Amino acid sequence: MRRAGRRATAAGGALLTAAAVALLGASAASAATGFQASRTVTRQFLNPDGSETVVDTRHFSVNVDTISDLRGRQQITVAWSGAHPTGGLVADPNSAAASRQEYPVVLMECRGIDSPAAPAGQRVDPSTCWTQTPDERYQETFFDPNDVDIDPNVFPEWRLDQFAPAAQRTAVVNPPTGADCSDGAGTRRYTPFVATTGVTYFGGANGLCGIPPEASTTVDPSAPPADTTYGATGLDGTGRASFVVWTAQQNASLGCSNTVPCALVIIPIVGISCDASGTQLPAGQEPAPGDQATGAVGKCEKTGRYAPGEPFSSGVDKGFGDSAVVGALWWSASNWNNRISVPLSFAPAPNACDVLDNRPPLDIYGSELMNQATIQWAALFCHDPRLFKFQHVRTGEPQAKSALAAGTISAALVSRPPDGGYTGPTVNAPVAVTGFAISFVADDANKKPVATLKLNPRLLAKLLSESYWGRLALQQDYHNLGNSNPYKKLETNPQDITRDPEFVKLNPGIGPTIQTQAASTLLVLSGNSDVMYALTSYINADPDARAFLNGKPDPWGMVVNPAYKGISLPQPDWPLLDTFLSPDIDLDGCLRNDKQQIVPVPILPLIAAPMASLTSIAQSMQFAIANSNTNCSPLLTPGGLIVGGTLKPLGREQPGARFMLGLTALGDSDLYGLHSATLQSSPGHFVAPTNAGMSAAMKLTSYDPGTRTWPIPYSKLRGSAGSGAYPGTMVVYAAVPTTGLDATTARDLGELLDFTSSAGQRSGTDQGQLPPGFLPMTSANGLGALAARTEWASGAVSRQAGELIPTGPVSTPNPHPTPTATHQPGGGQPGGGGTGTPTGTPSTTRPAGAEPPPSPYHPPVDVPAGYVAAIDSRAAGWALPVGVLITIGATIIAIIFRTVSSVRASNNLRNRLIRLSATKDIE
Amino acid sequence: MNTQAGPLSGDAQAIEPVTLAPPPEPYPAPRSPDYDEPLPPPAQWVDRHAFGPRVIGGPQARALDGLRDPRIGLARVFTRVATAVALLAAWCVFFVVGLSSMETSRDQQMLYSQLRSELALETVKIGGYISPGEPIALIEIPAIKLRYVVVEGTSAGDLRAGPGHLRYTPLPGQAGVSVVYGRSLAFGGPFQHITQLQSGDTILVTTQQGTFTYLVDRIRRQGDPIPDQLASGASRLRLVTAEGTSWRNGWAANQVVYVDSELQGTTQPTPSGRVSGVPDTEQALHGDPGALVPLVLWMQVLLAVAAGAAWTQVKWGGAQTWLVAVPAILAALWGASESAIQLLPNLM
Repeated sequence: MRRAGRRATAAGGALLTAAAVALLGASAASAATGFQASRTVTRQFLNPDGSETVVDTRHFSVNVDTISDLRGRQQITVAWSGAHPTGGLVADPNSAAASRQEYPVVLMECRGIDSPAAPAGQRVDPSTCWTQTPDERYQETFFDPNDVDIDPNVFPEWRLDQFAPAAQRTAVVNPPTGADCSDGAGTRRYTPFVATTGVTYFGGANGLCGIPPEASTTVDPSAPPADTTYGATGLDGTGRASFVVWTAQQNASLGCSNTVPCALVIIPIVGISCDASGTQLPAGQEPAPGDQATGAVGKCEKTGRYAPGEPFSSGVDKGFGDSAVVGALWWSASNWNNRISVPLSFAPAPNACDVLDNRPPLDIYGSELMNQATIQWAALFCHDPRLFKFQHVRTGEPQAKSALAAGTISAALVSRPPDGGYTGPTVNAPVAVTGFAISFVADDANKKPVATLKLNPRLLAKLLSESYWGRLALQQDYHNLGNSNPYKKLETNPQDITRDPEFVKLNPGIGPTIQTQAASTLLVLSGNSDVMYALTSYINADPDARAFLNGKPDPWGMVVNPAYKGISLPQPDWPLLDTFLSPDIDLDGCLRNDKQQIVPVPILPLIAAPMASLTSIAQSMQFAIANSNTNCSPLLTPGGLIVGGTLKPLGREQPGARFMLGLTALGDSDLYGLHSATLQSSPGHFVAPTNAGMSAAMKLTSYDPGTRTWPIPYSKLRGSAGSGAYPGTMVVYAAVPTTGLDATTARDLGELLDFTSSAGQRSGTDQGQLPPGFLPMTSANGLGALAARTEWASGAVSRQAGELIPTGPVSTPNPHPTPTATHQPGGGQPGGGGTGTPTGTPSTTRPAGAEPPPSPYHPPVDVPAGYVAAIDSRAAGWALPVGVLITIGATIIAIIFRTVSSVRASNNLRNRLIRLSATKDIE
Repeated sequence: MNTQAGPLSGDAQAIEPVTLAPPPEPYPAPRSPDYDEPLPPPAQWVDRHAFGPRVIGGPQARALDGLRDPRIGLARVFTRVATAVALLAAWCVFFVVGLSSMETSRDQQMLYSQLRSELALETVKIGGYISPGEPIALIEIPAIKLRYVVVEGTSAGDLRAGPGHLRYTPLPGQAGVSVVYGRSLAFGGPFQHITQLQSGDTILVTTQQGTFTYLVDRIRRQGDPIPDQLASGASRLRLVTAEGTSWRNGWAANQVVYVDSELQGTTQPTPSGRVSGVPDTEQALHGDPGALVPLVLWMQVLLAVAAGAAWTQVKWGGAQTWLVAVPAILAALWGASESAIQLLPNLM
């Protein structure tokens, strides 16, 4: 008996444990960075006798890849299975039209915590979920008031939702008080939106009752779309969608941040569970038996007019899907109860440092490649009062180098030193290994997104050199030229890259695109940048690309645009050189003046339309917002004549028919979820921008004592040793002078360099870590020499003794005590967020014996900027002396002459007297 | 022999010893020896002027003298010319060194009362276009007992009234380097002692925006390093004058010297509209060739007055001519000298 009891106890214990594990496994569990959940969703109809008929059961499970340390516009991927296949598919899952698909999976960002234990104002609720247009949260039907007892439109589907409370099943639900903003509809179902400010926006038909400032009633083609996604499920019940997360910086009314909790609400739509006969409604408010009841019930119990997987069509029996099963009724209780809420936790906002820390920041200018890294690093620095506050001002690297030479900044992030050298002793301390990527958005011939793309330097040269003509009218103009005109040969060039046989050979299956203008150019930077220098170095190192730019046709006969023939590379700034003026292209009237004459401008530069920063390019690539400035907003006279206008970017390309290429920083590509093309290293080998590719490229670099950097050897990449190397790799250096900085700045910059050489190179998304897209600069990756140089540089900068390079034995990097990383509140913190043991002030103590020997370089004498020039005047120096001399001289002369004349006169007198006395004597 | 220098100083009148006119023919020879006829009355041939000095040798006498000896006449002419030149040069030197300061003192008196009342009415300009000659500030340096009203403008003509403010620099007290020129010798030489200032001496400048205290930093001459770049928002005052080395010291200044001083305290806002450049005549050690015009006019006046004096001398005689001609000639000479000085460098 006892043994049986013990066995039973053991078995029971095991069973309980297993059940607990199974339950735990089924519930929402926080994985390292992702999220998984599943639930069973059903659709059931309530019969008049009170019994339920289950119509549809699905076992829905979903997986989200990242839910923590999220930043504004970061793209996360949601994948699901077990959902009802979607019908009435539209191309753009973020549009309002997508809400009318049948059986979509609705993804929305909602403010609050989805738990009954949360305080009332902080719960997830349909009123805190963001939709872009009022139509996604408002339903209305019209009927003649005289037919209130016969018309089934009196009872739309949501009034028959069995899980909705009676208050939500009346004819008018949640109406705004005050002024009447309705359009006279009979039944109106409002789902107001409550902003963080507390203001309630009722929406209504066409948004007449007020919409939040970030919402819209019309589509703006050049703006990124809403983050509300209506994902399409395939025939097998699986689907995936990208969801772009918004923070308070993108949407202040929604207001998600690291202090305001938000959730991603996933609703698999299976349709309204109907209470057809209105048994739960109060007496007198149910559908009248007869036509009204049958009509209403019939509508509510619809299962969709589109077959699964069928695209939207505006035919007679199709149009918008059946309301009972569309995504637009996500707020109805049956759908809302099927939701899965994924808690999201956000990284501190980029301007959190400005708010939390009011110390004046140390400005570091330069490289946009470092955007994401400095956001994470600066967040750590400004939260720690023992460290300092720094701010990365994103400019082109040449601009940062000039500011450093002028002495207006103390540190610059650059990728190569200035051509003439620095103006004083300056160290180049490597802070990160990252690079550029050629991002792409492309849909193939089957309207499916393309996952990989191969590009070689000659294709990049063709895109940059405006050699594709893009517009048919331009080919016509080339055709009409005389044979001696160099532009005539462009007539036989392909229209865009998808029609280029070289591209088709590398990437079969994509097919010609309708985005001919966006596909004929590469979206690059308009200003000076070391990134453009690196890209043009890569192109220049390839003999095929160089020959093409020098005028040699490619094997299929394509020639370079004569304006770019022989262009000297590399260049920090890609010029737009095409000057061909088309006599008849008027760009829908924008190029006409008020006399209706065409004032031609070169068209190909308008198609190229470079942008000012790498971040803007990445944000445009996220939603394929083409930047070619050939979209005309015409200016009309009162008579309707077009007399010019404004040229705008083409705007968002429709999903299913997209093609766009752009130059982005690797850190940004990862954050915004962009696809990166694989670039040719050695002929026939294409390498993706992964850590492995960057590491292979860095293995080929060697230290150059002349520039004191590790330049990327583009010619070596073409050899067999470089076949696995990613050609877009770039090293970012911090250029910091070692003389002339004041003590505080020198100490702070020394601390920063010390941090970047050690603690800052751990991968992760938490504060102070290195984000994805950067190769950690560690000896494990073969970059020990770079880390050691930065280590030495941090000491040199603190000492401010004019050192340039280390002399004598350099100490190996010793493990420094790391700055404390504070975790942000909310959400499950991933286990990898722990940093090293915080041990007092970071990096101000060195182990004995590790001091580098004093530098033999003597600091220069403080030389003044110039010397007082001589200004003297002979007139001033001699005026008075001459005057005095004249006075004295003239006086002397006068005296002399006076004496002479009086002597002579007295002589004459004596003579006369003698004569006179002689005469008297005679007498 | 003494000489008298009259205003026209062209005529050296000599008082000569008496020269007897040649006697007429002697009394006819006596007749026969019959001593009973009475003798005729004596000496009717004696010239009344024979004995005693003649004050002004008549032209007759001199001409005869000259006919007698042409070399004396030439010597006399040279003497008169040399005396005239010496007198003119002495007048110029005396004017530069001493007389012009009278004019400056008078100007400063008028400018001071004008500045005082304008400061009280708050109409003294602090920016924009200020016409040259307007008083804009009062500068005091207790260490060398200097107190002058600063006018706007630095041409040789503007600096007659006292120190002048270089027009394209900000006013004292405003952000930037404010430059004030001053003469070292002529017209009172306001800045003749600023080279004796020591580092740390106070300079007080009063403008419409308040009283500003500047501390002297150092004195700079040719070859000294120029000052460091001014910190943003700071103010510096630079006093510029001329000085001479070795034998020129004190009276023949020919090199520019600068005294830099830094503002203690906050700077005042700077209105816009200042001129952005000045002509060469307002730069250091430049004369003003435009002063030739008034000089020529004054010379004409001088000639006219001299001619008039010569004419009145003949008509009226000596004393009356002196009484009328001397002030007129002095005034014309003063005007001419004052204009002539402007042809010389402005910092003299």
